[in-house]
Amino acid sequence: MSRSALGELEHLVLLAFVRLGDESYGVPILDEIATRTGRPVSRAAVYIALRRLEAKGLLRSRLGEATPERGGRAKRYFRITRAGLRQLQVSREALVRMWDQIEARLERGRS
Amino acid sequence: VTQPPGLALRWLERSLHPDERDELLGDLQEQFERRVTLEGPRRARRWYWRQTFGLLWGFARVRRDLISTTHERRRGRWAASTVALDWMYAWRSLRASPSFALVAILSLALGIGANAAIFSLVDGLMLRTLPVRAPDRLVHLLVSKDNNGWTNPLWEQIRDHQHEVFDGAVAWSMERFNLASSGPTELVDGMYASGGFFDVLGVPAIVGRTFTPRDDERGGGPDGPVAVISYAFWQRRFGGAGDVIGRSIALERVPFTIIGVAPPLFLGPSVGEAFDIAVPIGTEALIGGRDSILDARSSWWLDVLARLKPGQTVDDAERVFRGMQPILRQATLPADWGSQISFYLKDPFSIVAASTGTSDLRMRYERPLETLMVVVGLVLLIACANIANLLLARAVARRRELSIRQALGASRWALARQLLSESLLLSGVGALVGLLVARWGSALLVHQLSSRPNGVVLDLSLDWRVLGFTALVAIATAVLFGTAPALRATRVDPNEALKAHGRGVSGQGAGLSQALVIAQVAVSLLLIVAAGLFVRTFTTLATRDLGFSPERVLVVNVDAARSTIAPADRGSLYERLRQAVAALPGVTLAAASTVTPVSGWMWGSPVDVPDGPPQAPRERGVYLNLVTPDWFKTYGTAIVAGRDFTSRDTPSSPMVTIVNETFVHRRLGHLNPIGRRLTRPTRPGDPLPTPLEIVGVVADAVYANVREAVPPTMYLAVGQQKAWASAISVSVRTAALAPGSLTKSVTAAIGGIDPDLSLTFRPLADQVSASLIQERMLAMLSGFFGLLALVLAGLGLYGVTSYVVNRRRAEMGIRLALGAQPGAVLRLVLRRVALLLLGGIGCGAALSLWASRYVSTLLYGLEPRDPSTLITAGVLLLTIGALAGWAPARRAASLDPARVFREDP
Repeated sequence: MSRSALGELEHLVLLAFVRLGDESYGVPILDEIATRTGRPVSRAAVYIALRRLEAKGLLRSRLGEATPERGGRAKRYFRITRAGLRQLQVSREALVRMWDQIEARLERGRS
Repeated sequence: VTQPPGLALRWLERSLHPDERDELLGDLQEQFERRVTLEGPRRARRWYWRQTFGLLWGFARVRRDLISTTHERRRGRWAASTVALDWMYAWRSLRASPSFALVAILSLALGIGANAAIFSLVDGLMLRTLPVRAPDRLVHLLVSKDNNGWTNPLWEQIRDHQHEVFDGAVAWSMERFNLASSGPTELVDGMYASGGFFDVLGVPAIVGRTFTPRDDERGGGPDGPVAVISYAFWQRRFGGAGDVIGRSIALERVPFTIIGVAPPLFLGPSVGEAFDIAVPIGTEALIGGRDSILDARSSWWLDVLARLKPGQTVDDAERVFRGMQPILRQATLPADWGSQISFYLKDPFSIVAASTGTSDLRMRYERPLETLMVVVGLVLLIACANIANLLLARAVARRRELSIRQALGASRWALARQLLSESLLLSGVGALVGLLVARWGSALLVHQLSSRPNGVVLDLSLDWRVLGFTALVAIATAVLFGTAPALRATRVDPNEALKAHGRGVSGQGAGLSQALVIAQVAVSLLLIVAAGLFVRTFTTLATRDLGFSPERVLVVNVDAARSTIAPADRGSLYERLRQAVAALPGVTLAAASTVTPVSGWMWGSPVDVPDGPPQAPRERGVYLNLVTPDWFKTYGTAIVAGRDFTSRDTPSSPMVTIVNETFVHRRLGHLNPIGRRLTRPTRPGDPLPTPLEIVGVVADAVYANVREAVPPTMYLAVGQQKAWASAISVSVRTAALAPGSLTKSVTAAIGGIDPDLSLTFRPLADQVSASLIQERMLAMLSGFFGLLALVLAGLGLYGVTSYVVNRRRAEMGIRLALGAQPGAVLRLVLRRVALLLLGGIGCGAALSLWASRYVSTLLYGLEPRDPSTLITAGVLLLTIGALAGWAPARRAASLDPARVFREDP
């Protein structure tokens, strides 16, 4: 399934879905990434990442019902797919292996 | 509930792909609402705008399929996203070179702002329709071809017959009312209005009510004398108090009851003049008292507007109205017109369309405003030429960028559109800043036009016409300065440009720049010549020998209409006033007269010289003034022959007169004036004319108008009259003090004699300078714009020369390396500059000579083709041009050849 590695933002978006549980849509995702990473995130980039992840089959979406507090506009709910979870695993393993034993060195380099 | 900014929302709705729209806008809306509660609506709206830009910019850069492009364009709708992309790209590229953007935007803001400012004056004065119901059906009734004044008896006839011709008619007259009960006047702008005035015009009161026909009865209707005040006056004087209705206000000491407030936009039907208080015409009987003109059959003081019936044309109405003329005229025959009564009967009534109201100001300022409109248009053209030159230079610098984009597949049209977007963005921002400049500038201009007793009030609020005009100007300028550089820039051969930046020897592409500079210099010359002509006109007028010296003279206008004194005793009252004022400390002389110079008043009459040379009837008219002894001395007008009036000139002594030199010259020829007899023709039935004997000749002095030659003038003695008007002016010459400082002591002295007199003070010098407002304004503005043109032309020349020098660095380096003297290089560059300048000045001179005839009516004391002005302007431009060319030429001459080759192999 790993035709291509996850970009950083794609990675963050997928992680956000895992944290938020079952189903979610744009606003909580944006909030979750912004509060967790502590830096502003480009709205356009997040939506583009969502589209791309869906195209890769890592997310699946459905159009929800319209609710009055959103000016009567519908939400698009996304749900992470089995392939998405697997891809996260793969990415995590790759990252962990790459990070192995270098954290101490980074600490030293910083001082 | 606070909504997101509508414009941003619409932009998003148009730009986002329909499949994505709901979800993205919903998310935005949800977060927006949260932000409103957290941070307040202001910050939330700003946040929404940032998100809008970020979203569209992000999508446009990466995933254009997320925004609606092709499928919407296919339906012929505006391809919002592509355009948005161009705009954002333009914005970034301008931010990358802020100094260029700043210079361009500033010069555009000045240019567009000046245009919008003058246009908003033109709009306010000439184009704006009155804020009344169906203004397009309003017509102005004229008593003859070009006379707008009606007598009240004629108006009463029109009023009683109005519905036979029109859908209603109204009359009004602008007047100044005194609010003070005694002493110094406190004048407000008043208006006499007919009973149906507000109803026929369709102007409702915003508080209270307006007049009814019954309010217009003589001496006041069932509610007594009533008044409608303007919105501005309500705010200014009563602080917008809600209980203003029913309050009393005294005008000329007559108490009026306030019954209503007019809406804020309605300033009155005379454009340029605004009313503070309107009262019914019938109340003139109370205010005028003994001197009431309601029944006067030759006092032409009322303007009349009428409303056409549905479907009626101006010509129809005029035909019917003229049909009524004999009845109206016969019913109002003046008693004292004598043989001229046939004029009165025959002179045909006229009607002209009046949707924009009526205005004396309009006639006075039409020509100057048109001239200024052309001037500011030309300034904008020069600014455009400058920016076009800057863009041309920039385009060369951006050749690499553009050719890379072209090599990557951008079409020429895409590149040109990109560059034009930048131009439009520049001119758009320039126009926005320009609107601020315009608001400020036009208010300043109106302030300049106002002299103290005659304030000018124009509605200058931005309307669609001003905004549309500004937008149009902005787009036109962008096209003007953007097209050539855009076309030029996109005509690059990618191959060629990608090679190490090509280095032309002769400065390829400089031809267009040079043509632009020549045009710029030519137009600048035109503007400088115009400025020169107007400034010289003003200085000629301002320093003209007036025939009297206005410094240190205070004019005190005394109104005895409210005084209890009998009209027959006014003569002695005036003499007592004069003596009391003359005795004040600090006063050298005091004298009284019925007319003061350049006050706007004049008094004329035909005069016969029985044994003088024969005169055509039209040449018989002279200007008259009634003066006391010492009046000439007070004004500093020399008595060149004979004597002044004295206290021995009384009603019982022989009637005497003093005439000016022009009178002698025109009417007496070579005859000795002293002792000569004159007669004033009388109307049939009057007693035989008393002959007047000339006892003195005075030097010529300006009478009514500084612009005109001194008219033949005849002075009569106040002391010899048997009847006096209710007003007189006492002119006071001070020893050393500023004339304004005397008002307190003069008020006290006159108040001691008769507390019921009302006084208006005005230094004579103010009176004179106020009469030159039009000339001062033209001189100031054209001077300012001339200077601006000079600076812009200098900048343009500097830019182009620097650019050419830069392009030819290598060539100059080679010349210097081969042994050319720096002086020779300097001359080489300066010769180019001189050629450009001379070319421009030549074209400009031809242009000026051609254009000069259009301003001839605005000039005084010099020919429109005044050669010295033209030469001065040429020399000025040459000097500035030489200065502008000098710096780059110096740079070229001091090039170090070794460095040139090292940096630029």
